[in-house]
Amino acid sequence: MTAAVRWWPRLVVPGICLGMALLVLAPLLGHGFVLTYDMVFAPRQYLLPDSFGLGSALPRSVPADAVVGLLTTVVPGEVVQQAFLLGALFLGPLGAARLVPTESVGVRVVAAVSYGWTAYLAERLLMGHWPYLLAYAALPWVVLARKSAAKLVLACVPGILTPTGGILVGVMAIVAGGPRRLRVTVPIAVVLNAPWWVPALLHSGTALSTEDGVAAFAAREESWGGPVMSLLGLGGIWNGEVVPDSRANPLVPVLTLATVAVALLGLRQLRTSWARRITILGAVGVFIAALPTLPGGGPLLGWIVAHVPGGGLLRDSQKWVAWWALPLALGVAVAVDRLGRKAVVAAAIAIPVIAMPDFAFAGWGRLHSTQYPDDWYAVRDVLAHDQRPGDVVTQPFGTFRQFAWNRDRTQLDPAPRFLPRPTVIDDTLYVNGRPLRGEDPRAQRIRDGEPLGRLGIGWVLVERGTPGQTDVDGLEPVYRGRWLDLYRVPGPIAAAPDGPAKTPIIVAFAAAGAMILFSLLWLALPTGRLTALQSRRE
Amino acid sequence: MGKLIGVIATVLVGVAAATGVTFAVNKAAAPDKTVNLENPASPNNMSGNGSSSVNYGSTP
Repeated sequence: MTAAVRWWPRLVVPGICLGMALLVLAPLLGHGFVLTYDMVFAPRQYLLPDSFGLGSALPRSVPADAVVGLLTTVVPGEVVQQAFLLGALFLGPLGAARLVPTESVGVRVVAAVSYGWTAYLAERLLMGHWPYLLAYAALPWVVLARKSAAKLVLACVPGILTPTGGILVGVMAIVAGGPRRLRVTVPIAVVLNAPWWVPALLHSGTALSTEDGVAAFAAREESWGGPVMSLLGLGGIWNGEVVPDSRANPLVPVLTLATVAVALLGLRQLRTSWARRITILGAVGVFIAALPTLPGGGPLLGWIVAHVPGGGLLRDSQKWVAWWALPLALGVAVAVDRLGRKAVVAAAIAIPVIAMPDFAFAGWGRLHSTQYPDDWYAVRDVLAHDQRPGDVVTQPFGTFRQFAWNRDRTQLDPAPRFLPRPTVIDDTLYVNGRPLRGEDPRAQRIRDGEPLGRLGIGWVLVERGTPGQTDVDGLEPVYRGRWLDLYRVPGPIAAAPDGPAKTPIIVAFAAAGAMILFSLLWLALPTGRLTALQSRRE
Repeated sequence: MGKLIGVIATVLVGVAAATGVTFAVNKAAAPDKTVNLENPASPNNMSGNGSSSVNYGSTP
């Protein structure tokens, strides 16, 4: 009985975190894939040059595609997707709860709910930015692991799947560690992020974005409080289609102001240097996010995006507000702890959920699971077994689809992740019907009308049931189905254009992989434990 | 009476021959062999918005 009394409080916080994650994701955990905006998973994702940043396109999803490719060789893609989403929504709040210096279970739950029920999570989930969700979940664990190099490496791992996630966790690791740990934290951040920044450097000739995108992707106001207020409340994503309806509630700016005030009071009580540093980082995140909406900020950001290679990372600036989420949750929890009243604890737990109830049940029914039609499997098999050379280009020549079999939901073209050959899609983005130029040079040459065979394209996949024009004149039909047609490009097919040099990218992947493996072994084998014991005795 | 029978027979033979020739030509040429009646292709622009490209998103 005594043992039970001692143990059950430890299960409360993980139980609440799991409950919150299930409240959001339960409708999506059945059989099928969630395909929305940038989130595309396939039953099996093939390891292709693009997965490692060796293709013609910028490495936007590197090493995420390589990791998913490896995982889906042994685990079905839908299971991988569900594990990532559930893991992100469960582990993030759990980490935030552990970070609060308190013995009170209720206060830890306050931190968990404040961190796990936010507009940032809701909007990025609906937008399909699953790597951001993983990076967001990793942030509190990065702060917790700031004193141990091996633990810090492993805490960063969920975040380093994409450039944005890698920067989020890498900078948090450096800031949380402080100036005395720079010789540890900076090399860790640099090496772990090498799988994307090395290919990005090798693509530097094409790594410039159009400055038009800055205005299109600027943070937006979700209510009368303006964009900065939306950002302080962890919302403000550029795409109005993915914002929960509750964010327009006129009380939200008032609640946001009150929450920020309470959090600042709490953070003042927390007299630790790491807390001060991550609060400053949070403020920097809000500032970067708000920059396009501030006087002169738009042109400045536009110049950076158009002239600094990789500056495009700042285009969708609202994502950097993730740094603000942790000090906000921490501050609220500490302030509630100082007050020490049960009613205040209960209110602090309930308010985030009551203020945004439409995050529950997959964004109140906005997300659904779906199955790929059989045509996708048939075309995949044709391309896997046909010996004729050539990459694939998809029609309609566009980035996004609205398939009738996915309830006309906007989603990224799944072909590059579903098919066993490199697949070129038009990377021009349309926002409000206005085109924003892409960066893939091979896609540009296709737009210019260059013969497909000369570009190494041997196959044309026509996707049906989605808006857009198709043109298959002169192509040889190979497969015809309800949703997909596959055509062969006649004539000789040239080799695909060379991507960046392989050796530096292999070295980058090997270095990051070795660092992760070494950290795992360090913690798992007696060497690490004995060293820790010895240093404690000293 | 004989003439009437002859005309009717000629018409019937003609119709039969025309049917046979049409069937044979159709079978040989098979102009609709590529039409998939059981699993017909879905038309594009199903959403009926007339757009030639899908928006990534929209801002107010």
